[in-house]
Amino acid sequence: MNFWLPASTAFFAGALEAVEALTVVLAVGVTWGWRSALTGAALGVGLVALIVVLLGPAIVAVVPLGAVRLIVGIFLLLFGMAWLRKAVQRYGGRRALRDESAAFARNVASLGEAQRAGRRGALLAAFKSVTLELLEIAIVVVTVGGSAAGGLLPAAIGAFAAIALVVASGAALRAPLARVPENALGFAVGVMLVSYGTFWSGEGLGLAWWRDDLAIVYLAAIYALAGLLCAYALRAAATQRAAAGG
Amino acid sequence: MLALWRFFAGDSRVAPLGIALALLLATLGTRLAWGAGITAAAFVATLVATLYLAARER
Repeated sequence: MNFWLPASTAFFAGALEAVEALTVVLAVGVTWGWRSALTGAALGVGLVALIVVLLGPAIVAVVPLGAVRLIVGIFLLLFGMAWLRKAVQRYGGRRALRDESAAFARNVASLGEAQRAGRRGALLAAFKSVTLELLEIAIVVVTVGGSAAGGLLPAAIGAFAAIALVVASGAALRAPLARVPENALGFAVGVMLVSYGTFWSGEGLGLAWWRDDLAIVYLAAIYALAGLLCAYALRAAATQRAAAGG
Repeated sequence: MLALWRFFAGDSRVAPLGIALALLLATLGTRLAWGAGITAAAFVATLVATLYLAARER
């Protein structure tokens, strides 16, 4: 009882948070390269490890989790909205598929600049998401483990087991994700980043989401549907213009 | 810095403004106690409208 209760609670809470971080790392890795995604994730793990070593159980009182959520959320909203907008414009026929390649080819100097900025942005997205989620896991471990005598070690074991399981699942998902068409992937990544951005920035501002973390699922459904409807509206408007012109 | 900003916000003028408006509405909703459902609906609806307007931009 003393081992399994804190271990299982931390395992399930840790798995939930780790899946959230994994989604962002996978999205960034598949679209902007694994080097940026894994470097960002590794930096996040390093920072949280340092914070945990330095603060220990005091982490619950010291880390301003609301502010961290708000900053990461705003960042993901900006990042995800730009991504989703481009994918919707491509589906709506307003932007040619893979038109960035053509634009970049016209200007080799701006290609280098944009790619460098992209890699830095991707690295930051992975870093911030991993940092936020691992901080939440660390706080869960301290809270759950600290509520019973000798509960800290089982809670930490449960959380580590959850992280290991989620990381292994992520490694297995890399190959299938690489085969998804580019614009569909861009659309899905945009939907996920905007959903996480909405969820985290809302939480950071003190908004209580209906069904807590499950809100990410219905937010993703709302944005996916909205994105598809926007693309449909753009395409219909373009067809109407073409018919009027011709 | 400009390249980094462009990467995050894209080449849209509407998106950053819409996101700022949505965050303002969420802040007002939580501070003025509109209720979680109304605040969340206003927040998400503003973001969806932002997506639509940003997608229509050239």
